[in-house]
Amino acid sequence: MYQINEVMSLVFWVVGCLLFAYLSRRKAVPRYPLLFAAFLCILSSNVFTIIEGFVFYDAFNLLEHLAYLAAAGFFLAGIILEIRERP
Amino acid sequence: MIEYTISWINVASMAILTATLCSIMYKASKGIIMPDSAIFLGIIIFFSLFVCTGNLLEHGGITPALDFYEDFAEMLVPLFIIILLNSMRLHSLIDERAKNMLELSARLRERDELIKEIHHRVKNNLQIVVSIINLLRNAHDENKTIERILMALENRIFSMSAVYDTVGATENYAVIPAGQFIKKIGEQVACNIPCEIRNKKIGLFYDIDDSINFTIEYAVTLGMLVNEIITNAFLHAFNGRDEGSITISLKKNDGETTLSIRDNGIGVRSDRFENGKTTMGAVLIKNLSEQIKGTYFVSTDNGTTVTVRFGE
Repeated sequence: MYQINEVMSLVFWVVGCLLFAYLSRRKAVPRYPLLFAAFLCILSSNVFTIIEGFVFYDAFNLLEHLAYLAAAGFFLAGIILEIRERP
Repeated sequence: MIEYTISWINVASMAILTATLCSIMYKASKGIIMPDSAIFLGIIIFFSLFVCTGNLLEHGGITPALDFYEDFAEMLVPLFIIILLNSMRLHSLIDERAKNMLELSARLRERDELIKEIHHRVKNNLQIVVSIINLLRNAHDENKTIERILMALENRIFSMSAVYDTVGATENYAVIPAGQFIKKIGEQVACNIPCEIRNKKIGLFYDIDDSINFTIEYAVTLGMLVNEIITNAFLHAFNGRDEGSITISLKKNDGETTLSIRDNGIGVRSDRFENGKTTMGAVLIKNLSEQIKGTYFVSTDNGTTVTVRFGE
């Protein structure tokens, strides 16, 4: 079964990612595709957390942590490659 | 087995997140990431690390104690992302404004320089007008009517104004396309000559290299020179004739510019120009040629050709 805190966390992440996408599209913030990919990975890890409560617990549990690993990788790449010295 | 794998995945995530945190701190210390953005980024990574630690402890079979706080930490991350985005937006706005300020102050300086330059040129041009009037007074010829004297004066002043008219139409104030102002001067002279000459069929032709540009100082002097030579040609070259042509040519070769104004009229004694004392027009042509550090010569072969060679 799903837990309410997991759903709440997912809602927060969806709102955060939507806001990031909206602001990026309006060029209100600098575009950082790698950082955005990291946020999407965390979002998907939240989705997997909820799904694992219903079906394929082990598979989705693994996917959840793999998504978190990918997010960490994207964070590191984003910080190194995208945030460079300002002109 | 799966728990073991997940534990190692969490260890890897923690290692990468720690590297990210170090990278953020390094970039913040170098001023690449602004301090406030670095703090929010650091908090995001720190919470992520906390989540990974909780997962590691849980899946490694040590304790599920952090599980409750883990979700709470995860919920806080999007909030900090929003704050981070806002701080980044503010920094990009500040950068943009600073850039605009720099551009504006550069433009302001440029405008100040231009205003000084304009005052200087107005003074110079008024001096030129005074000099022309002085020359007219000293070289007063009983045979010339007031109308002709005023016409000559008008054309001379117009030749200066044509240069500024061309400046207004160009984007770059520093250089003026020669073809444009020379054509304006030619048209003005052709319109302003006395009726009896205007009724003759005198064609005005141009053979001007469009790539030739001049600075304002050069253009004003050259414009007056062109005006004098064309006016002379209109007034004197076709006495006793009903038709003719005047061709203005301007070419550049090996850094030397050649202005050549040719008419197919009755011709003129070349010494009339060269001794530079007989008429006011001749005096002006001599003086203006010297002003642009040029040499001029007159040839009479099937008409008159006045050629001026100068450096710019």
